[in-house]
Amino acid sequence: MSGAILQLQDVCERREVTDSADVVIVGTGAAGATAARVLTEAGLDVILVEEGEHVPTAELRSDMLASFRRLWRDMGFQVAEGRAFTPILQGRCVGGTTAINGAIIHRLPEVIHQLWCRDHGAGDFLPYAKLQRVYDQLDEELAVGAAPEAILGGNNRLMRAGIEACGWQGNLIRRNVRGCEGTSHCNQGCPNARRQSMNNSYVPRAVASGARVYATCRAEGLLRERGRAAGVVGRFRLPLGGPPGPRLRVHARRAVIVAASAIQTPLLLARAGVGGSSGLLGQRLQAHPGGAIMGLFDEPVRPWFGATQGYESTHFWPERMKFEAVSMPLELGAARLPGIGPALMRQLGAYGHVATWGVQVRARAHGSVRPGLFGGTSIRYDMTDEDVRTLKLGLRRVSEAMFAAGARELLPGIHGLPERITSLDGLAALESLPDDPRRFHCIAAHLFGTAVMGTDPRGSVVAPDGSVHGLPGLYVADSSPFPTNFGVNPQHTICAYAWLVAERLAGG
Amino acid sequence: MPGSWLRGLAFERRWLVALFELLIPAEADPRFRLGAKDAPMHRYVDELLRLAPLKFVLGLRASVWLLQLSPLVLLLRPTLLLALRPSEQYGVLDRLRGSEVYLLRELPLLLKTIGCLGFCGLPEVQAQLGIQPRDATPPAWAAAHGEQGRS
Repeated sequence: MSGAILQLQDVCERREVTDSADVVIVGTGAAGATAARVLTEAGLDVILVEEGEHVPTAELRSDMLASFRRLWRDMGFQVAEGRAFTPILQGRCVGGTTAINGAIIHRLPEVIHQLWCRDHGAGDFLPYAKLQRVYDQLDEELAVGAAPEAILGGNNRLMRAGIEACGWQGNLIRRNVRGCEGTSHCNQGCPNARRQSMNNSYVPRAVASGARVYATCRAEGLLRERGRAAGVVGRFRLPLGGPPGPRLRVHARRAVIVAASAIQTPLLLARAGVGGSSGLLGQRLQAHPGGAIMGLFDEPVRPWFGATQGYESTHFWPERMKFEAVSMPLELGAARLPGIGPALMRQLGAYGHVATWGVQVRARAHGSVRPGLFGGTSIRYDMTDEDVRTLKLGLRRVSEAMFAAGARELLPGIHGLPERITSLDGLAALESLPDDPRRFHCIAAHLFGTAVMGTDPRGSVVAPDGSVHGLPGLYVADSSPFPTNFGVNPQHTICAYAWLVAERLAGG
Repeated sequence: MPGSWLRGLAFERRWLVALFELLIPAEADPRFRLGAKDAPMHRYVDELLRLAPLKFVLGLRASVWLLQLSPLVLLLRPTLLLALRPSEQYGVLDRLRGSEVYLLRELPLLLKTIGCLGFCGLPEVQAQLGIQPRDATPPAWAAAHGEQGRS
């Protein structure tokens, strides 16, 4: 059968869509698409089920609302509740979060890998040498390389100057892009298809090898036959509402792989009544919460040009923090400027001189995911006091680098500090602020741990090879099994893990 | 739309637009003359409330009510925020922004964030800052009927 991407408008006349394949995969993000690439090229027949839309590059728009509407989960309004509301950023489209992220590529730090082996039995399935071999191949296929000088733009260049002036280690970010033009539109979907996100790489590659993608179709449950996972049932519907379309019923001859993210995967398993015996399904949600500091420079920054994220510092990674330049779209950046009314507009007039650098925290907090009201999702997540102290220290260091790079004033956006700070002395109050996440405006990305791996079914949801305890034929291949967060961007490790899960399946 | 009242009543939508105009005023800076009143923000509000998750919409509606009723508590005056003089309005909003109560100080920020999400996506707004959008056509909500202003 030839491959294709079908969505609601292609099937709305039918009552039910049925299909079968060797392997059915839920999700087309980093994990699902990579698994599809491996399986199809091993000669297996594959179906992918994706809740979000397939949005061709020609239909992408510059304005953020349009991107939120078509590419982001819950229109970008998904939040975790705790002491503070924390936006949880995720894609919901063909390509998943890889279609809207900053294209940052990292490998799993070796010390974290050792921890996973020691405490969670990952070593037999995930030896480090094997991971490195897959990373190398991913690098080649996804065009991973350091951001070139020509598309750095002012924001990244200034951060490099600041980090170097402080004597810290920093580097151009390794990104999965092919000929990036520096439009700073990563969060809106790459307008030139330069980013090798899954919608531009492994999904079309799998389709070319015969995979069928059913998009705008939410997986609602799992089929079982003779004590094995045997398929997926779902329903076509536009992600933001509208009348429901036909049902989907797809049979899997060999296996079902759930790769729907650390938020959606545990919910699907729970709906299907599997993976819950340890009591850990949907628990242990970990993340990398982060905050940002804006700095006003005399020189033009023009944050709308350059790689959205092109420079970073992992100098303080052992202290659980990482710094990144981040060029937000004006629609999001403007809201971070201080003031309201005329004061806001004066600041907006100077937006071309504003740089934004973020602090990403390898947080110790554990949260949870469960079904919420109105058919939604309830996410609980609260940074610990220690996480907040790490954030405060990180923000202070980033501020130091901003002044070292020549910032005239900082716009910290922290409750309890002045709206503008003109010297490091002005940050003295930061340390004495209570360790309360409500004083900061954090977002959380990079989600892990809600279907944790382990060799003992009493203390884990899946085995290290992704197989779900208690239901043969069912696998989880996204970041849900990862036992801990790891302080760097996880896309490459999610791809590598999915690759290995799929490779074993293909071999078996 | 069935149940559309859950997604905002007509007067609540007018309040929301007026709050955007208060938070994002025109002619406030010589480098940046445009404001929310120069954009068809009523259509933005319609689009947002139609499409956003219901939980968010209900939260936004509650925020609008709390902002409108805040003079009752902060000024001990039985009037709505939007009925005050502009200087008093900004005074009330500044007090809310400085509040030690998290939910109160987030109210103006939420409205500012949502207002900027629409307003700053307009090509003419970006052009005023020197940004050349990749596609210069306005967002779908602003392009409807080819109308660019509200009045």
